[in-house]
Amino acid sequence: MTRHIHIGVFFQGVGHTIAWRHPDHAPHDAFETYVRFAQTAERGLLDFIFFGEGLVVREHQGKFFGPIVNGRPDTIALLPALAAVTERIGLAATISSTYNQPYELARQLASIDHVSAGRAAWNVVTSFSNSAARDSGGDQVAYNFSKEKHLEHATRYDRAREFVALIRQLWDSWEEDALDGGRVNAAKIHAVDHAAAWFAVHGPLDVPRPPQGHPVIIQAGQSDDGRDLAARIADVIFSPFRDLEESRAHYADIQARLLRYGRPSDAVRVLPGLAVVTAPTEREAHDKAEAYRRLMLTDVVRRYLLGEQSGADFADVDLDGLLPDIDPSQPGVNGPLLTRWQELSRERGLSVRQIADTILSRPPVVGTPAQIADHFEHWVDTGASDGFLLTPTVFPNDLDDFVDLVVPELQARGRFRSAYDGTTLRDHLRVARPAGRWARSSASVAAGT
Amino acid sequence: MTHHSGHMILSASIAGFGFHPAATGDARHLVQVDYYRRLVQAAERARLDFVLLDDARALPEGRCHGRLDALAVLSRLAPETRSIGLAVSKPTTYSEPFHVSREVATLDFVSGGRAAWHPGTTASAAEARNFGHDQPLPAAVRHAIAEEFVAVSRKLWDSWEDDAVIVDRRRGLYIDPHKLHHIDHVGRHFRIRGPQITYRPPQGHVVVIQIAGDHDGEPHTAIAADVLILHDTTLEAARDAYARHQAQAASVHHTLRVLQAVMPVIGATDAAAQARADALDARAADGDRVRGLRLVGTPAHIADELVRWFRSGAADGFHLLPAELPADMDEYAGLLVPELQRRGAFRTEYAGRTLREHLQLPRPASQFAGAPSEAHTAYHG
Ligand SMILES: Cc1cc2nc3c(=O)[nH]c(=O)nc-3n(C[C@H](O)[C@H](O)[C@H](O)COP(=O)(O)O)c2cc1C
Repeated sequence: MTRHIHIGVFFQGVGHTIAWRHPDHAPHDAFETYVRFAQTAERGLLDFIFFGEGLVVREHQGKFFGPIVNGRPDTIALLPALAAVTERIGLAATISSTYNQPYELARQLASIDHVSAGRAAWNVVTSFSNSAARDSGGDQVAYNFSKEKHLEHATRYDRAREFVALIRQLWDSWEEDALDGGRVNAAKIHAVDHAAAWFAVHGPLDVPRPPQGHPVIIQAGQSDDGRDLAARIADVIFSPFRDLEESRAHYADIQARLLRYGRPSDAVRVLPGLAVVTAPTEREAHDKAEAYRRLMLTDVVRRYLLGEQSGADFADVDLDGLLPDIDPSQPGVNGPLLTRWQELSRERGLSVRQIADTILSRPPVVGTPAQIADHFEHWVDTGASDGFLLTPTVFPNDLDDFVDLVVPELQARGRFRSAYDGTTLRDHLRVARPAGRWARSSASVAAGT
Repeated sequence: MTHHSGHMILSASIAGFGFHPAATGDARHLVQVDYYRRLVQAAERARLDFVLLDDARALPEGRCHGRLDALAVLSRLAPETRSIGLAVSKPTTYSEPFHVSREVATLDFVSGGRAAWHPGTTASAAEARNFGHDQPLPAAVRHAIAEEFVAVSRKLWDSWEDDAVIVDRRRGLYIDPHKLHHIDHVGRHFRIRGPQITYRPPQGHVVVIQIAGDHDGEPHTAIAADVLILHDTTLEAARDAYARHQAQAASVHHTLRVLQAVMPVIGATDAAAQARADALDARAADGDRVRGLRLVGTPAHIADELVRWFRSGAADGFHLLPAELPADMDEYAGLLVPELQRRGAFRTEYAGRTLREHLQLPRPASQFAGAPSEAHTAYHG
């Protein structure tokens, strides 16, 4: 049996250095852009659209910085509006388990699932790490929430585990038939009475069980803790891998972990992120990719990305010279990374510019629709993924091209749906709708009377 | 400054099956978007300034029913409506200003400038227990939190100036970094660095609604609400309160709209209306009383009374508390509002696009406009 291919699409936003500079790129600060994004993805029958989250404005060297995209609408408030202008496409939000309260988030996500008739998903993140990558947050995230310090990695995942278990209990606090006949049957609504290390929540939720039972849960952590959490609770896993072998190893690792938690091997959909550049001919596709590369690899972007990744200031560094001596032990910098770059520079005689260009370009997959479809089939058929999370570079162009060129090719090969055959995101993903924890007890109560 | 168009402001609350304690209905409707769509569309047909959707974060005790998150419902309905203001109740107790101010800013974004926010406080023990507290916070603490919460939200809305996003492809600048600002708020309850991670709302500030009685008595004008809803029951008391609040607002050069809450009970004749009110009262449990002003009669009679209050300086308009939903919203659109329009006291068409325009409230400038900002300028082309 051939495996179904699943495709989600990521709205490229904050931190992006290329897309906005393309003359066709749609404005990020116009609601119509989001409507068009959702409707285009739905026209292509994709599984879901997906939005990221970062709880701090991206700065550079502790200062506001003009060249990258900043600002985005709040996803919790955006998704219901996008549910109004679409009918089937799944709607996925990234939301931090570190800076939210389970009761509030439980009712928000349950409500989005209700007003979209079963299309909500939650990408559980613990928020960016407190590493050298000061530009991406670090303790600055905490400063927006009346806190002094961001939680440590292991502590964040500890909180995340309790958070997710509790939120699922809240979603289950109403039995499916608690509203039968148009009256609330209080006997079918149950408190959760949770009191543990992080949270004390009495419950029950004031929102009935979501149409999907639980909104779809996504996890994208790559650390051991992250993969472990994913294997316990995720329906979908995002991964950053572009290499086939790495992806296969990751896929196998996830399968092993699923087994450990007693979950079936097909319980999750693993979707690596992927930028696709396609056109009717190979020549056109490569020309387009080369144009994007030129747009991206400006000196401003080189300096910015080197600085963002390493934590050091590259504003005045000579790009044509060897990497200067930057003390890898100074506070705020990623020492191991800088040391690796310094070795590269010395051993291979690479200039700063050359270092930038080797480490910064994550090449897209470029080709004709048939070549792209081959890539999809190869990855899915060799156990590297269940599909992809598209990261279109320029919007709307790249998503339009994917939908108009690649989707028909996949359909012609019988590898992608030609109509939505269900109504909920769980239907699209073919992941099971969780039974409520009261389903059995109610039945046994009924049997006993 | 008072509302000067000659038209009154009219708004309505949506809560459960209505504000009369005897109001009932099919509990499934309260968790379906169709129910709210019908109500909001009827209110828009009536040309109301805004509807306010009630919310809380615990299963209601007593009259137990489920609900949906009010923000999700209003955001869901924003693309299906064009003009009506969408006011969301979002409590300040047990919440983060960084999240709430952004959520309501985004409601403003998806509705093209039609959002309002009622930053309530909650004294409910059930809500406290859903947020890690055995007991509700003391009233004084709740009020202090609410006050600071709104002030810091206004700072966060201002932390992006209006024209911060410039998309200057020639110079390679997506934003003008001088137009983002750390707010560096340090208060008793919150310490927030900012800036917010979303754009300034289309209205500059989302319209802030304060409901008297929320704060166990006198409204906290310290919140500096844009709209204040009072619950006076006599014309004299209303006139006094109106003059007092407007004088207070004027003394700090703040534009304020004061609305009186009223529950109309409409009938084809005055006698029919009275019979309907009596029947409802008889069905209500002992001790359940309707709070505030109630007007019982024909649409013409109720319109006369509202116009009399309005023209004698008792309010800038009225906040309608429907006795029974969905029926009353249809009556406002079909019966009551046409009477007010005939009297020249209410708009026949929306003139503006944003809720601030409906309410004739000024659009505030960012408090940080022109202030120095920590911008990295080394890379500017
Ligand atoms: C495709 C993809 C999208 C992601 N989006 C976000 C995001 O929007 N916000 C965020 O805080 N982290 C995001 N992440 C990061 C991860 O969720 C995770 O937080 C990060 O890898 C750190 O966790 P770890 O230490 O377990 O790897 C994303 C990761 C991937 C692969």
